Amino acid sequence: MKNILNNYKVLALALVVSLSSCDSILEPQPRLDISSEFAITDKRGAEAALLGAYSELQSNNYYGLEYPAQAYLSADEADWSGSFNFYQQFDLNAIPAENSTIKSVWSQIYRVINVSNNLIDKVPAIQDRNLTDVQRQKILGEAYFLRALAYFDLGRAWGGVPLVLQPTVDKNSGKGIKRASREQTYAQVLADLEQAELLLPALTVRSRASKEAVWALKARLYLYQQNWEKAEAFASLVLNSGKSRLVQPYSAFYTGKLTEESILELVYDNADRNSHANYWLTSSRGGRYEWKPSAGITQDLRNPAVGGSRSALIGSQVNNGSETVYGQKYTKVATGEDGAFILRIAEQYLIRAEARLKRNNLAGGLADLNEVRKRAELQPFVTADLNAALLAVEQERKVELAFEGHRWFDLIRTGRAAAVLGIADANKFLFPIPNSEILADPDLGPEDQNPGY
Amino acid sequence: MQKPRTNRFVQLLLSLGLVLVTGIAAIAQGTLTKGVVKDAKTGEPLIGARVQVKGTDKGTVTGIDGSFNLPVEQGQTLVISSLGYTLKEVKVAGESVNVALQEDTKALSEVVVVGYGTQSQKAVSSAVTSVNPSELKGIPAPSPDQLLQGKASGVQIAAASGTPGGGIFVRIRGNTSINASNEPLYVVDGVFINNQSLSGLSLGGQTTNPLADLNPADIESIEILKDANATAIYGARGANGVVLISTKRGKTNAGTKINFQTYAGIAKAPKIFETVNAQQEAELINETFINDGGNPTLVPFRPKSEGGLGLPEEQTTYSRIPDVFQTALTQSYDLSASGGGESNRFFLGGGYFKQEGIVKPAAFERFSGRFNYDHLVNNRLTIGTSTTVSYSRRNQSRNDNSAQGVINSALYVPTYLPVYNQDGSYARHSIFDNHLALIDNLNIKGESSRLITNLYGEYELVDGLTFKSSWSLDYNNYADKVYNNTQISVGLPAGNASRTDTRLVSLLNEQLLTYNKRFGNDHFLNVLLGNTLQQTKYNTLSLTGRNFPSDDFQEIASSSLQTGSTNSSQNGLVSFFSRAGYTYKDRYSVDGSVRADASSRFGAANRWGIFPSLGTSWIISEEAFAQDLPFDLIKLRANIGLTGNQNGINDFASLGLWRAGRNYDGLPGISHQQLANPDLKWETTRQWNIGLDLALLQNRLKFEANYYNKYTKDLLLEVPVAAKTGFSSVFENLGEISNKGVELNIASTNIERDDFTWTTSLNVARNVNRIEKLPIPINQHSRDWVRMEEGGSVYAFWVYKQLYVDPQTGDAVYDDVDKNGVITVADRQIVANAAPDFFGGLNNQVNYKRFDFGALFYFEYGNDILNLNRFFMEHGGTRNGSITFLPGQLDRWQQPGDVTDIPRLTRFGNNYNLPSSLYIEDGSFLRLRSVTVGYTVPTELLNRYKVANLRLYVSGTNLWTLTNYSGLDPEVNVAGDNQNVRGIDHAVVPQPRTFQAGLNVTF
Repeated sequence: MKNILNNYKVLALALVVSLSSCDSILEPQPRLDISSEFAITDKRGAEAALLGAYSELQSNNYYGLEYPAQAYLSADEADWSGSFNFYQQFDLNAIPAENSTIKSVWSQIYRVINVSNNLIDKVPAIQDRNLTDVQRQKILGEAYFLRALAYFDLGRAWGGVPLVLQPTVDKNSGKGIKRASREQTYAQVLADLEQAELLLPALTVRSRASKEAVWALKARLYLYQQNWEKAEAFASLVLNSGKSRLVQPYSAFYTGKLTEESILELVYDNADRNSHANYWLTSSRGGRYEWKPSAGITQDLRNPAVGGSRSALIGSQVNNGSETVYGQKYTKVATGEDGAFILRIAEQYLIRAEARLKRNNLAGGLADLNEVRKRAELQPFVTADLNAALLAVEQERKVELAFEGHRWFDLIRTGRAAAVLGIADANKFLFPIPNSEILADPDLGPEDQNPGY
Repeated sequence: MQKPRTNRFVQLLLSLGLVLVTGIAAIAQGTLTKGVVKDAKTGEPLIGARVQVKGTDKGTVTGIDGSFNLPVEQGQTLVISSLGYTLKEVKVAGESVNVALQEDTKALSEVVVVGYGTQSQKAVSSAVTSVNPSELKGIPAPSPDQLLQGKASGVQIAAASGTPGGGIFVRIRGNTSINASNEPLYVVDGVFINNQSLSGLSLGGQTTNPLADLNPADIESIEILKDANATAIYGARGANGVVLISTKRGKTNAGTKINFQTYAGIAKAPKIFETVNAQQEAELINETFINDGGNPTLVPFRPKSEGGLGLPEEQTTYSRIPDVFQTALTQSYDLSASGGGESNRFFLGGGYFKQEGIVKPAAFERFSGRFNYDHLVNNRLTIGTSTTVSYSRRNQSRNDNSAQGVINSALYVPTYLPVYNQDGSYARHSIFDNHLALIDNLNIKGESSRLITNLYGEYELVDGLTFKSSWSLDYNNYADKVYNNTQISVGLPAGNASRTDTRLVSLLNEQLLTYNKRFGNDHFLNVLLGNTLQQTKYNTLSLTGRNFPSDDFQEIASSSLQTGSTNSSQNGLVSFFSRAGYTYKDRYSVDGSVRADASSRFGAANRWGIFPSLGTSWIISEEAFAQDLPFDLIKLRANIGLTGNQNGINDFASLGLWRAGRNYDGLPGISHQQLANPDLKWETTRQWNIGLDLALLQNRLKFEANYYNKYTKDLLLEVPVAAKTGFSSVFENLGEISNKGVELNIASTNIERDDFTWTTSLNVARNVNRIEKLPIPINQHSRDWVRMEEGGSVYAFWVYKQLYVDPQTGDAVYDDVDKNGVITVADRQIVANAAPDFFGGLNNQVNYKRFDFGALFYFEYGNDILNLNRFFMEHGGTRNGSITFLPGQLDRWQQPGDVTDIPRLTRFGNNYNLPSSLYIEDGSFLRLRSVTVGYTVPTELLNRYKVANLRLYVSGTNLWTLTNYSGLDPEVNVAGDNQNVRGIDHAVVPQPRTFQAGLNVTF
């Protein structure tokens, strides 16, 4: 009997040992993550979240590849030469609403917006004496800028979109927000830029938003809105700030990093890699050659009278007697360090040139145009015809801003897409709302899809 | 196209099934012998005892007074048997025979292994399939799961590819989940082992199989628990079935036995890919050019003098495909010692296995050891261990859905493009690598180290009451080591390397209290009570290096750009469980179990899940009224229960999280990661099962049937949310799935003589899966080829249905579902499914004198395959110059009046730019999975070498396959890494055909 009692003691002991460890077994803490409520509660958290917003902006689903790619594939800059037919669909201007790139870009842009919304919502209330007012304003200013950029990119590609301005806390957040019009979307962009303009200091670091970046984006926004006067005024503010200049030679701004050319350039490194080079380069250069420069742009860039020193953008290799051309604006496949050139000074010259021409200032317009041509080692363009000058700006934008994702939106905003790209169906000038979004968002019905999809 | 084949298929199955019955017919002949069979103890006559003439089919059953009449020749032997009695043999001398049978106490204790113990065979009310691993010899598979194919009804097993050590699909009674796991729980000697691939590499869709760490030669038995009453004792992990693996142990008082087994073999691809030749390709490209409005004088393949690539007939065809296939070698060696003294028993074994892949350069190699030991400290206390260690190495390569794949780079590249450049260097084309460069330079290694060990002490407290405590560890360490030199495109421009070490450690502690007691003759009670604590920790450490000084340096330390990263996570389960069973008169049984599990993955409010089950069985054949029926056994079983599932979701799925590592410009950043759902809880599966077991003709024909009905609710579903929130999905308990099915098992002893036996078994199962509730459809795979939607089932292909090709225009005509005149996404529909309508196996085993012969057929019927090779290579011109064509493209429409399925070549429009039903094929197949012929050497010849037993054998696998599928092999799945995708063929390594020879010797 005593034996049995002893045995039960052993049993009881084993049970006690096992039960006492239950709590530690059942309540492990995540290691890579923190709970939402602890994010953005102090200065370091706010700074980290702001960096996180830039990280989302530089994602390969946004500026690291796909946003510019969907624009230059849709225009006449690049031809698809790979195996992913979801990219081919842009090249053919036949994008189904299930296209996976459309979905990933749309979702990624809203990731930038949600992080910005969190910052805009939480930073003003942070109680941390290490956070000075100047720092607080700068963080908020950058958040407003990033949200403006995100909505601008949505607006020009898809038209009006749902304007979510509050941070997401649970799955019901954002309920009831339907598609706004493009005008409302651009108005929101402008409102955020006004805020950012008040809060942001002058440019010191080209990889971060600054007052000059706000002006530059405002100039572009006004250009898209055909508000020529304001476009000219804000481009002038940027050009006159002296913070940026056209670098020599042309290739210097993309072979270098954060050169004086840039007003806002996203930087990439070995850990945060830009994917562009992989898609542009041939397999013998370590790429997958998913697309290549179109025959038209190759011809333009190689034409000494049109491309000038921008012929450097076209690479060439000869195998077994046949030539393969490839684009080489993005070539740092080993390090992944190619930049994303969101705002640079050459565009500001061309914005002002176009705005001045639209305001019948032929001499002023040509002067700005020829600044850009001069850097490309070209002769000044001379004409007395305003329309010819405007066409020259269009052509200059094509070669100067090649492979950066401008031309598609330029041709659409100027009404020239049908004529230049030969797209008869004007519905194709807006991308489709992702089909998955129409399914997942109760505020979007089939009737909210862009027409023609 | 499908119909005639269907009939042939069914006919063949039926004719094979008939084999079962033919051996059984018995014809009575000879002089009449009379006799009486009595109970030896009581002297009462035995009713329904079977009397059989040994070595023949002749037999009868005793009547109400225990008597029988049977025509028997003098000198023949009668075999007399009755359920619950020891079988007895009597030689016939004279005209009457009186036999007394002893009650068989052993028969009453005949047991089956179930969760946490054993149950009396008679009392089991569950659907449990036992597989005897000795039947599995002859298939050179590295992992035990693959050997079960065709052996267990209702268990669908298919290799995703022919890569050695690669992922295996195992599904017991259908898919119960979409985002949580569908894999069964594997329990080896009481240890819950990890079954998730720990390799962090993405090699095109295939995974590694962690069960390949186990040496099949160590396995004594495998039981598959299928229904809720069997699995509810595993509660939160039971919903997808449980596979119990017991390894070999020694025998007490048995001396020491040394066993050596080995085999070696070769493997080849039964069929390799074929493409068009260069001239045909050039003609197709020219035709596309002209069809698309090009100037016929400017076609790409025109004379070089005119600036073209040369005329089609001037093109050289460069052959690549044969280069990537090889005749692969397999070798296996196992040496073991087992035995025991009075107070101990042991099994000590070591094994080596190496298998090459049929597509270069792939190989799997394993070193394994096992030590099982039990020691009887005194007549109440036993202590022991089950321990296995193994180290496996994989040489891997990319294939499948990877442009850098070996098969891809040989198969897809245009045939008119040369393999080498003029300067002799490897030529690369389009997005593809050079296949020879890949074969020579791929350097992707996987190393798995595994320790599975269990230590236990078992003490009999009082008679029938036993306490057992065991402590277990499953330690997995998996290292991925990749070095890409500059000869292959992923290594450009200066080489890169990566290494990821993943460690998964699972600790388990278990207490068990069992009570088994027979009260009097009629009552038998068994009770079990236990608890377990389990903690699983997961850690990874990964390093990458880029920019190497030359191709001679491979260590990350030699590179100039290095990055590192770590990850870790953990989860825990606390469980209490109990089972009780009661049997009355060995005839009526009820049993039930309940388990309560608490998981760290859920919030405190939903942490506990309770999983009960209840079952009952009735052995009708024991009843007096059934004694006249010609059955040795009639048993009815029924049970119902609940099981849970929480595997496969991340460890912190219920929390709202922000993640670090979202860095910018070298500075640390954070951003939102996951939406909170504090209400998250278990998936719950309710399953009921009814079964019927029959045995007749003196147990020579056995029949088992099960009908099951599973209904899973509260699916742990990654529900898409509007992207405008910044999130893509949230885990919610939404959605319901049902699985209903039947399983049939027939086992027959067709011939049973001293020197000649022939047994046949057939199993067939059908599972019907239905997604009962799903808030929104979920698409899978690139281009959304697969869709799960309410009312549909898993593995459904979602495509534009091509109705026909217009003979006038040559354009594909698609089903315009919404009749709006244009083909849009609204016209996509589900047209086919990769899950089979039914599947099963047919096994024949013949022993004649010293020869043994085995043949196993496996079949799946009604499964569809999406042939993505055709999608990419019957591209109609859309991929001209970057991807060549399959010969099927030659059947394209060319001129008005042509009637064909293959549309006119064009880069534009819908002919070739849509995910079309054109590429979906019937994937039904019947395969001779394995054939084995063995010979056991007579002991007289062996005695002087002190050899107790020696068997030599040769075997072959996949020698013959009947299928209508146009690809290389119908057992194929490009997405081994996605449980919601099956049956997609895309540059997958085919199943090899193998031949091997082996020997098994015991000293």
